[in-house]
Amino acid sequence: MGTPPAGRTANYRAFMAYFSSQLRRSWQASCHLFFGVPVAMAAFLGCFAVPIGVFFTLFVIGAPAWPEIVRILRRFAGYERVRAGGWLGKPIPELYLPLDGSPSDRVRLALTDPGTWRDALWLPFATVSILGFSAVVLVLWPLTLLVDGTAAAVRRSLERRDTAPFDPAPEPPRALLLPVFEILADAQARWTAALLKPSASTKLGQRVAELSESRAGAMEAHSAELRRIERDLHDGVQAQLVALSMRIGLARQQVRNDPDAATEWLDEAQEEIDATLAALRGIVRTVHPPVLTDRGLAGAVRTLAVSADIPVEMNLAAVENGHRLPAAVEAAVYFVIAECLTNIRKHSGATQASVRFTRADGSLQVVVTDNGRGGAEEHGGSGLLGIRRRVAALDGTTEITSPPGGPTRMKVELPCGS
Amino acid sequence: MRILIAEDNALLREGMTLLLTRNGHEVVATCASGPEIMPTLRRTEPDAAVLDVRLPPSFRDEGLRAAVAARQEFPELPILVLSQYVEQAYAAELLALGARGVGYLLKDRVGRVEQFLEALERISEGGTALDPEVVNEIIQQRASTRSLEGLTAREHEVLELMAQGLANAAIAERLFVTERAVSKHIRGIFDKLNLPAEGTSVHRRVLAVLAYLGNDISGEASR
Repeated sequence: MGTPPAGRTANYRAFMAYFSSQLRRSWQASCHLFFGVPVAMAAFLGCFAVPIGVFFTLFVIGAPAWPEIVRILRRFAGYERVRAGGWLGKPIPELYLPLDGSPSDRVRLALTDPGTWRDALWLPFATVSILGFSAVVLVLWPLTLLVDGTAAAVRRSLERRDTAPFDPAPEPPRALLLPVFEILADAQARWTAALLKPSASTKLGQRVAELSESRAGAMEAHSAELRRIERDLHDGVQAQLVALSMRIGLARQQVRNDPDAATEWLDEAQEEIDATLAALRGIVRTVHPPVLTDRGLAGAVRTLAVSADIPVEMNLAAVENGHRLPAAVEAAVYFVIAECLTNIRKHSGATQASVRFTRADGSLQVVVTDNGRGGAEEHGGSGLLGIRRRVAALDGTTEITSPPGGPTRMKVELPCGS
Repeated sequence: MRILIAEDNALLREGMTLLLTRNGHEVVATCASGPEIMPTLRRTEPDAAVLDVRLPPSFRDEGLRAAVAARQEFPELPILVLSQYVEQAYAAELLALGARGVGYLLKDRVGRVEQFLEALERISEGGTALDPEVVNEIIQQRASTRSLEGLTAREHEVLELMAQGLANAAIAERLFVTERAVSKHIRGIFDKLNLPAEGTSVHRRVLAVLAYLGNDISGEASR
């Protein structure tokens, strides 16, 4: 009988599945190139518009029009970026100097932005590559259907006749011309990406801008912190010392005439001193917890665990002996863990918690988890907002997951040099 | 009493020396840095040592370490550790040495001369002195999880003073009540908290109360 053995049938089925998916992908690649044809035509027009624009700009007559031309050019290139990025499956970043300021500024910016000239260079490339590849695709389709179609048909009839014993092909044969479409579309998109992505110097400029921004943020947080300390010292401690001086003065006045009253004033003075010292300790603690100086971060976290009231499992190897971090990072981490453990004790009903440190690529990661009831609220004074602020001030990130029913997991990542 | 003082701040060192000598004690030696403490102890053999936690050369917890070392070499030496700030974990480390003749107080307390001298006296007699701030912090933290709600306000006060290491007479004096009233409150507390029968020495009582409050404050440090 002409029924092929089961193994052969499976081979054939696998080949047909491959063949049809390859056919679909080749068709998509062709569509991608064909949809580029209007882009290519517009780019063709642009090849003339840009030199004309430059010409007018140079002779001042058309200078105000130049930024507008550049704007259109940017939007146009942006469209192609999205299209090519979509095909490649990863977005092509877009980075231009913003065109604002006075009209002459705009003209200058539009002329000096290296992005403008990369876009201009891209215009003829788009015209040629898209039109050229589309033409190739047009010619290639009939040829492909002929070659690969025939091959498939021949294969099918061979499978039907063949009664030889089961002999699985080591590698199922591939289509010959079908993959070419994808190669063409890929190449076109990749070249587009190479031409339209921001140049290294633009990227560097962008990074500098980002860094100055985060530095400015850090400076701002730092200044706010200094202002807070200044206020606490002035309004708190200083005022308390003045009140104290007054009480001692009153005691001095009355020490002869009314020793009892003087003693009372001195008692009050001493109470005032106790309060002042407590306030001062509180301020010092918020600036830099003394236990960090005594014991380092690992030791300080251990002291937190001692007062946590529930077992806290710790993995501190990353910050153990000799792994000192910048003081601000240590203080922030200590603050975060203290806050977390307080929250856990107050709200979670957990019977166990864990604190883990890991270091990689110049950043420190701290994960605090508990086995409590979850549902931690960002608002409502749970201290989570304070944690976020403190971490953000150091350019770090905070992630909190706390589904109702638990568990709560908090991940903080802070840059800490190397 | 013959006392050794380790304190790096000259102002405080002088002040404390003055305060102690005025009140009939003798300051046999003063140390301004951590490494001096042990040799000076061996040389002078004082009746008690008052140690600052943070001392040169590294300005960390030299005083605390010296206390541990001194405890090993002179188990009977009463030691009072003073600090600019208090840390529960440090208290735990000190109490892990046994609560006999150990004190841990904020430096602020030196200003309350009578109470300070009383605490020193207590320690030298084998008692305990734990700073109210430490005790308060522990009680605040445990209050939510342990059944302290059943206690009356007065019993609360008595519990705090008990945890600080005060004997019944001292508690009575602080609260302006009779000693009998204090004993009654203490019995009430021990009943409500289901603590083992009272009547043991004061420093054992401190540990029992802290163990109840702090889960295991003295065991934690012996890692």
